[in-house]
Amino acid sequence: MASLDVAIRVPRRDFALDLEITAGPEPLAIAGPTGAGKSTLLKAIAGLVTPKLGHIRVDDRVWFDSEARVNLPPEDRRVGLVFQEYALFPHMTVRDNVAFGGRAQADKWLERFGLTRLAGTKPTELSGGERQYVALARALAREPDVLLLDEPTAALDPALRAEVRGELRSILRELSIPTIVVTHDFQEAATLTPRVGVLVEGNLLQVGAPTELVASPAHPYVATFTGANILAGHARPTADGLTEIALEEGQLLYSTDQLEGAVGAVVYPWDISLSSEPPRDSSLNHFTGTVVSIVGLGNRVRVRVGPLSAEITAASAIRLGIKEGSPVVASFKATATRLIGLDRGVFRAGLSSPDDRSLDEG
Amino acid sequence: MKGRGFTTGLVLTTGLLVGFLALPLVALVLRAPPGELLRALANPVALDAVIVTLKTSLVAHLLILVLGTPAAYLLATRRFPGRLVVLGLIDLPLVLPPVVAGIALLSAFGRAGLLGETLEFIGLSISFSQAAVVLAVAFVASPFYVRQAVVAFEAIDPSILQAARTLGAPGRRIFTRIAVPLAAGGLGAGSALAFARGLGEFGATIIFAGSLRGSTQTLPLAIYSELDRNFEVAISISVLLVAVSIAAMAAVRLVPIWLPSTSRSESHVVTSPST
Repeated sequence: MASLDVAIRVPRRDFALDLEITAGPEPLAIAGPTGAGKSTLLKAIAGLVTPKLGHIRVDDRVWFDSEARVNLPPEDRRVGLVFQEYALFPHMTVRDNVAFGGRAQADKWLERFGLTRLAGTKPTELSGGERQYVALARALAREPDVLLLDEPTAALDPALRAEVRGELRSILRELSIPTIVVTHDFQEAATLTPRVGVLVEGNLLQVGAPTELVASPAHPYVATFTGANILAGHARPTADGLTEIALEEGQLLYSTDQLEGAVGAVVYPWDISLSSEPPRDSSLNHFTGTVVSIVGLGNRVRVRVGPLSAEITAASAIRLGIKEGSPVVASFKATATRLIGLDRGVFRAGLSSPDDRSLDEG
Repeated sequence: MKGRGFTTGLVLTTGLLVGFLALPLVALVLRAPPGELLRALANPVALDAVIVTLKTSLVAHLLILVLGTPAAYLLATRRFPGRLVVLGLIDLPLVLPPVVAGIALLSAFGRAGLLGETLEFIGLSISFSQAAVVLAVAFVASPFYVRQAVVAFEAIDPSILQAARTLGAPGRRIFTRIAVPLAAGGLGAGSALAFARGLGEFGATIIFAGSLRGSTQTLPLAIYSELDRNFEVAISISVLLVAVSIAAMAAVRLVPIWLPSTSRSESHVVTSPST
């Protein structure tokens, strides 16, 4: 089975993309914030950017090797790169665009993506989703050894995104070539591929199944990226075998994880329940505060209480009469409180940076 | 009130400028009524000049396109040491007095020039021949095309060219099938400008090629030679050249609309050199 083996170092202006990955027939997603080096990674594999060090191999073919001084130009690497903005040839018809990659397979892919009736139109007349399919068909008509997708749904309307994701998901399963999808959206990565790597400032923090990244993030950034709350504090063991975390704000939390020193306590929004008074249930951790904001997400609402984001059903929110400014108690179990060591301190600054899901105010 | 006064000032200065530019042209056209114009153009001197001009301009233009297009593509898509120097050199004829260009061409290709002996050895004598007109026109008019072409190629979304590379297309194919069609609007506009400039070439031509009727006497040279002898012919040729210039300016504006390129700039006429 084909496999892509990448170990490269690409210096950039403020950091270096420095990573090792392998991708087999199972597609891999690389997720990370804007500017993490995701596009650079794809361009390096495609040969549009030359790494300073390392190698890029597909099976036993060497595309790049800094020691052996091998550096195949893009046209000699069999790579299908789908650009974020598609980079279709605006002066050519859909068929000519696809056939530019390879005449022999053009019709097959046009048909696969339901583009046959649009074959004679120009890309400017197409919808965003159709353009994405043309770009994909064009890349696949090249009969690539490796398929690379750069932010496949970022340029689409939110309404189209789900549809295109579904189609991408099934096409990625059909293909048996190494495929890398880069995206800034963890949810997208999780839907598209069974394996996700989190890339920040050129470093791969963790690679694993999406559920694994959510359940046991190896790094605070991974936790916030997957949507968790992180509270920084200092951990020490208690007499009854739990871990007590003294938060920087002065409050105490408990966790079943065993860790000492500077830690980030990770709690997922859906593990937090809200009540008007401290509940008498099995939860050990209670956070009293006022509601900062309420955001509706369909049948759920996200409620911000102090530094925490809790996710509850819309019905519960109405039943509790939650309003901005009203006092509320957020509770979660010690068993739902994951601890991550912050001793490395490398990405502490990144704690509040990934996106609006993290805590950026106290 | 203050703002209004300023606007009035702007309108006044613009009016003065437009008047200054348009008045001579109007005066010129008024002196040559259409009927007389055609009769004067049937004059053998004018006819000869039209033929010489068309012949030399077309050859020079072909030369500019064939050499200028790949050069512009190179300058737009590659970064190399000395690139800015090359860009500067390409622009130089824009500011170089045409008479000086003529002297320079003479010193290079003239009988006593740098390459004179070599050219004579292989049986070529360029100066004061029709080939000299072609070289003079190409020398003076080329920047009008090349700098426009550089901008047109630079305006192509780089990811489109990168996509073509990842699709396995060799450089030659990307140039002919992607870059040139996408830059067509800008290339056409530059081409029209260069052609119009070439038709009006005077200074370099008269020094390097002379003004021999039927051989090197182009329309502008014919105007000069007929100035004392037959002023009506000089006027008629001038009106003809005005018409050609207006047509060229129209082409500069219209070609980019007919040939949509990916160029993001509103106007395709560059006023400052690309860096």
